[in-house]
Amino acid sequence: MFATVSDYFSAVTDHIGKAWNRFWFLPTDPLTLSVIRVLAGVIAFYTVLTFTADLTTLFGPQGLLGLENISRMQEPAYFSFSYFWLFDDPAQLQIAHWIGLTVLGMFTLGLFTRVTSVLSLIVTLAYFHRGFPLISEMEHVLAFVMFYLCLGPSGEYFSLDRLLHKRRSPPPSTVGVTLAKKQPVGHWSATVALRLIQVHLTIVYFMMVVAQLREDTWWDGTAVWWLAGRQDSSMIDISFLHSVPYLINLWTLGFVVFEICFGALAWNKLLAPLMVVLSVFAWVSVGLITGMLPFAAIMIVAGLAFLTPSSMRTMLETIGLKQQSQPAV
Amino acid sequence: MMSQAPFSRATSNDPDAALPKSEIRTAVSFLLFVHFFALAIGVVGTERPSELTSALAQVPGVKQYREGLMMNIPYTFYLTRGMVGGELDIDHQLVATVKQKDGKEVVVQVPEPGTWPSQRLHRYQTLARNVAIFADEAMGSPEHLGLLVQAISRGILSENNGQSLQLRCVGRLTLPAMAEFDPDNESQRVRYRDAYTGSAFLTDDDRVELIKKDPARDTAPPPKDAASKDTAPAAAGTVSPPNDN
Repeated sequence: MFATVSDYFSAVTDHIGKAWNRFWFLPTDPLTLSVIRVLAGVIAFYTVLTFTADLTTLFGPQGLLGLENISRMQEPAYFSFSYFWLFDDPAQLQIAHWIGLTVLGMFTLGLFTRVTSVLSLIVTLAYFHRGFPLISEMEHVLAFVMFYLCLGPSGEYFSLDRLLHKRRSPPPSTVGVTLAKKQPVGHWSATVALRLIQVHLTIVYFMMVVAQLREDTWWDGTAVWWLAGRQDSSMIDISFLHSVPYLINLWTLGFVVFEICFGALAWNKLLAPLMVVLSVFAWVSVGLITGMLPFAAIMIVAGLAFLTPSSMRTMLETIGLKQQSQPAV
Repeated sequence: MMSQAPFSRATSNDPDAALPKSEIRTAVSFLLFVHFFALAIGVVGTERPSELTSALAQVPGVKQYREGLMMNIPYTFYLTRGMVGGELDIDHQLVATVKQKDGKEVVVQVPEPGTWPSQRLHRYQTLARNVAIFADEAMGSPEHLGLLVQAISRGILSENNGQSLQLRCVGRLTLPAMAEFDPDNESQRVRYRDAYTGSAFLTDDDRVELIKKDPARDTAPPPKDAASKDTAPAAAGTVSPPNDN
C-alpha cells in the first residue's frame, strides 16, 4: 500500500518536473523575442520621446511635478528607482533625456542588445517612477515587457548586432558550415523570457476580465458607449451609433469575449495566430475610442509572445521580411 | 541578465536533451518562484489586501522588487465603470486663472486643448485626474491633494510670472446614456463639473501657499470661449486661449 502511494507521488512529481522543464527551458528560436524587442523598443522610444517638449515643464525646478512635493507624495520606504530624482536642472534633464533616447534607439535597432536592453529598462522606469502621477495602464505593461526582454537574446534577429556579427564572422566555407543546412539556434533564456511575457499577459487579461465583469456596463453591453462618450480623449466620434444600440452591445460583449478567449486559447499553437490577429482588431478599436493607442499597441505586441517562431517566420515572410527572419549561421 | 549556458541541440527523439544543465534549471526555477510570488502579492494584495498579503507585501527584497519593476498593481484595467460623472470615468482638465505680478490675468489650461500627440494629452489628463481623485470624498487623500496642487500651482505660477492663481480641476462629463442622447442637443456634449477648486499664492520667500483646498462637488457652468483678458505671450505651451468661468 505504502509503495503504491509512493510510486504514485513519484510519478506525479516526475511528470510535473518534466512538464515544468519543457515549459520553461526547452530552447526556442529567439525570432519572436527579437520582433517583440523591435516593436516594444519603438513604443518605449515614442513614449520617452513625447516627454521632450515637457521635460522642464514637468521635472524642472519649477515644474508641475517639482522634486520636493512629488517625492513627499510617496511613502518614505517606497522603492522608486529613477535618476531623475537626483537633479532637476534643465540642462541636466536634457542631457539625461537625450542619452536615454539614444539608449532606447540603440536597443530598438539591436546594437549591443544585451547591454542596451538593461539600460533601456532603467531609462523607461526612470520616467515612470519620477512621473508617477502621469502614468496609466500602458506604462505598467511596457515595464514588464521591457524587463523580460532583458532576460533573453532579443538581439538575434533584426539587429545591428547580427549585422556586425555577420561581417566579423569568417565565410561559412572556412568553418565547414553550409548555408543549405542553416538551422535556427534555440536558446533556453529566450524560452524563459517568452514564457514570462505569456504568463504575465495572461494574468493581465484575467484581471481585466474580472474587473470588467464587476461592472454593470460590461454586462449590459454599454461600456463601449461610455468609453466613446469621453469626448476629450476619444479619437473617433461614434455617437451616431446611439440609434443602433445592438452594435454597441455587440462591440462591448465581443471585447469581453475576446479577452476571455485570448487568455485561454492563445496558449494553443494552432489558435495563437488567430488570437493575435483578433487582438489587433480588438485593441485598435478600443485604442481609437479610448485614445489609448500606445496601450493598445503594447497589448498587441506583448501578445506576439504566443506565436511560435515558425508562425512568426511565416508571418514575416508574407510581409516581405524573409531574408531578415532567416537564422544566422 | 542571464548568461547563456551551453546546451545540447534538441533531437527528434529526446527533446529533454536540449535542456540546460540541472544546476541552471534549479537556480532559474527558484528565481521564477520568487518572481511569481512577488507578482501574485502585487495582484492580490494591492486593491483589497488581507492582513496576510499586506504582511507579505512588506517582505524585504520582494517589496523593492515589486515597486522597482512597477508590479505593485492588480492589473484591474476595467477601462470604464460607466459611472456618469465618476472621477474615474471622465476626462479632466486643470484650469488656472493666473494673476501676474504686473496685475494682468491669464488663463492656463492643462492639458491645453489640441495637445499633440495624444500620449501627451493623455498624460496631462492623468495628472488632472489624480487631482480629482485625491479631492474625491470617497477615494481622496487631502495630504496628497495638497502636495500635488502645490507643485502644480508652483509650476504654473513660475511659467507665467504669476503672483497668485485660482485653480479648478474640471471634469467633462461623458455623453448621456444611449437612450437619452440627442445628437441635435449640443448642450449634452458640453457638460462640465468641478472636481476641485482652490487658490494659491506666492509668498515673499518664494513658497507657494494654498489658501483654499476644498473639494467642490457642485456642477459648474461649462467653460466657454471668451476674449482674452490679456494678450501676454504664452509660456512654455501651457497658456491657451482663456476660458472664462
